[in-house]
Amino acid sequence: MSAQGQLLRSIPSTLQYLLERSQLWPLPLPPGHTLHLLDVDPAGQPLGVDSLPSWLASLVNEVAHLREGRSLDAPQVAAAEPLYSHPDASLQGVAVLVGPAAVTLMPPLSRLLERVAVQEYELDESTRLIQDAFDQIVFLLQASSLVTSDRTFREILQQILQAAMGLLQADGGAILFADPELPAILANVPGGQTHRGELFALVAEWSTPRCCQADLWGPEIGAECPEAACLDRLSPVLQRQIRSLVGVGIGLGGEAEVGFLLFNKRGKAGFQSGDREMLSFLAQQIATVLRREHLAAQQRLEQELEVAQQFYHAILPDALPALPGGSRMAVYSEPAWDVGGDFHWISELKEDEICLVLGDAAGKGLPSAFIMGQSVTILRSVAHLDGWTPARMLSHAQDLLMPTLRNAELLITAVVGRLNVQTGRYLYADAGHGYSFLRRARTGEVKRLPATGIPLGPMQQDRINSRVVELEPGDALLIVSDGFVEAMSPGQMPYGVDRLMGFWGMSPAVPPGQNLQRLVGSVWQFVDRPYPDRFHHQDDLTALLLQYRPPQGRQPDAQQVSRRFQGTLAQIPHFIDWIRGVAMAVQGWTLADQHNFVLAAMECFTNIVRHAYRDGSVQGSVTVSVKARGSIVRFRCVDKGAPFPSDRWGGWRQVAPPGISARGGYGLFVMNRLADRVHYRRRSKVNTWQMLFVRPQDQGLIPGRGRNEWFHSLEAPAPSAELRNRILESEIT
Amino acid sequence: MRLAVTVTNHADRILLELRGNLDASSAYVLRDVLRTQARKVAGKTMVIDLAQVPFVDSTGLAALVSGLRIIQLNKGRLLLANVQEEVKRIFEITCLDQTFEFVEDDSVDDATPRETHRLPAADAGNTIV
Repeated sequence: MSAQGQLLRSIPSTLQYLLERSQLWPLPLPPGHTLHLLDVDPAGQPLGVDSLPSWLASLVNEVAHLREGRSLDAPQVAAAEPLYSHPDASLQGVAVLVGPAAVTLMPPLSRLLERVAVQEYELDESTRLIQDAFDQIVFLLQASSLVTSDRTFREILQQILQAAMGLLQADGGAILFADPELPAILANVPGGQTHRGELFALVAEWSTPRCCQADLWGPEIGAECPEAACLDRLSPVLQRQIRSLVGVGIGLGGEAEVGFLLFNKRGKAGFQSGDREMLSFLAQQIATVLRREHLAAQQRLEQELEVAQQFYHAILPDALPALPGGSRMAVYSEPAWDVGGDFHWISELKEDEICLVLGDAAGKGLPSAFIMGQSVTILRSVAHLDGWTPARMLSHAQDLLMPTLRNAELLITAVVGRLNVQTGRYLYADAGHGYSFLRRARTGEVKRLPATGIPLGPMQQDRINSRVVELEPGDALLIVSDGFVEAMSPGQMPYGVDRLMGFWGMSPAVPPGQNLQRLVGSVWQFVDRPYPDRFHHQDDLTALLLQYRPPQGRQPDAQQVSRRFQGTLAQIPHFIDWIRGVAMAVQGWTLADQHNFVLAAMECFTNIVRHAYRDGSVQGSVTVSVKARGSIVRFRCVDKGAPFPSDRWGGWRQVAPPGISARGGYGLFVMNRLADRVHYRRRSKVNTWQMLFVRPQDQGLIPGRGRNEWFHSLEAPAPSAELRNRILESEIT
Repeated sequence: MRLAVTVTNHADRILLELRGNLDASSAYVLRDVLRTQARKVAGKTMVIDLAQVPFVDSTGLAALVSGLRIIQLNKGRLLLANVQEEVKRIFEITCLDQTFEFVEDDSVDDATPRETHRLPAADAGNTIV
């Protein structure tokens, strides 16, 4: 029986026939639902269409009663679709979805019903045309089932696009993605790929691209699309070939569209308003495909990440070499993500010599991890070769990595050092890293070792130099990644180099592993996040600490640090960060103790800059040293500026504060109130200020008045066991 | 940490929002602003919001004291808002906590802004935004 023959009988029966023929019958419906295609008796009374919902419900019941001899309750009618032979004609039938839940007919199904009904009315059309239209609609229905098929992402989208083109009778179509990495899917777009960018720019310029329609030519131009002016940007070639455009955004639930579905027509017949509904449905189908693809990609990424993690941990050492002569080493490594860009490698090269590598591939995550893997591999491959200085090793890495870094648009900073553990000769090269610090045991002075070259990157660099530092027994070397100095406090202040130098300089004489714990703990305290709450929004953290041989003679039990500052106002921000770091490192101090110490120290330093060096107009330096022994902390400043005026000496010891009418004197008063002892001495044109601080419970150790009431207990958090476990320490030999 | 000062003129008050350390290297920024704004404060209240100031030393304190004197001479009123606990200590040590008036956040923003005045950048080291 021909389709036309079926069409002559009734619309519902024709539909059922066609659906069966295309093997789409029974249709996939929600559980517990059935679809009934009911026709109105042609001989019956023509029905008006005044109030659709109630009328439809009663109609359904009536038809069901006639046909099936039973009545359906209105609530059982989940959805109903009127079937007309033509929009202007009388009702021919009803498609009824019966079931427990209120659902709507699927858009393709509604479309299918409507389309076939209209075609039935236009019987003068050939059967072939009817069949073509029907096939397109069926194809669209099948697009729904494609979503769950095992075809590739692109194949599915291609088929959906083709089906939609047929349905809309469009001449060209495209699925354009907001992500420029994803190639567009085009069908009969004039010029093909060459116009992709142009079309995309056009789409991007639509301020509200959820659904636009515009005729490019004719008097109605821009009538339906206020943004149609942007169509002028199309090249004349494209304008000649496209007459009408219709598009709809593809969204995944977020605010931004992830893509755009676009169709054009070259003929006079433009798009119809009903086409938008169809496009919206298609966009939903495409979004479903994209979600599925996204999920699959995520699963692939997780698998890749697992491999990358294995790779990452394989690259990084899981043990440190034993160092002769009592030297000790510890390493801490914490990637911001599951894999990071920081890297380190430590190896025994030959007797008495070790090689240290610490670097940072810019960025985080997988790309950085792979670059860092390459870097370590290259450096390892040449480390054991005779005559290869750290500078030569880094230059070699630069040559080999340059193409990769150019493609990935990444930079690498790295320090490579070779230490002779017998002589203490440390030869290093630093490609733009700049976070190596040397602490002298004798003075407690911390020096920042300068970079000797620029970062490894996509451009050939002139030269990386090597530099020699002679370590003495007890000296320590600290190399950290930028994650330490760039860690941000809740108030968006960086931890900073000055604070790091102050804190580490004041480190107690304990094994390097414990000192690393303290350092890491101070960073976590600074950012106000308890370990192990990771710095997911921040950077990888890597630190390498090497203690070069025990100091000769008796092991000092004091914490001691010193630093020289220029006597200028510009040094004050550096001083305050440094002294804060020092205060954080004093063992047993509460946060209030720290703050009082910082305030008093700041007043002393400021006093020297402002008065001894007259706000920096007289050049000179201030050497600041802090020493903690037992419960007493001594702060000392030495300068060669103008002497403190003797006429003010007695005055600042006053008990009463200066008051609102005083022009100055607050600083000395504050020092006097906060420190347990304040001394000033001038000898041989050298000024020495000294303040002593004692813990409240040890006040009895210093005769005289007690501490003031500003101290209260706010203990800083101790490093957790989990943090301690992340520190890798060398064995003692 | 550099000091930035934002000045907002309200109908009945002038709001100064400070961000950064108020110390010897930056106190002059506040002094300059106070000197300029004090003329406009007659019969008004000036609120200095210190919520974003983690540190004040004696030089910063002296700048505030100087500002208080000028404002009182101009028949105005000075309020210090949202002073951090650690910063409050220097006021307590010097007994100036009895001289200044302190308020918390709720009482700062009860007036509609009329004009926001942005000052040009100062010289090296400090900025006025």
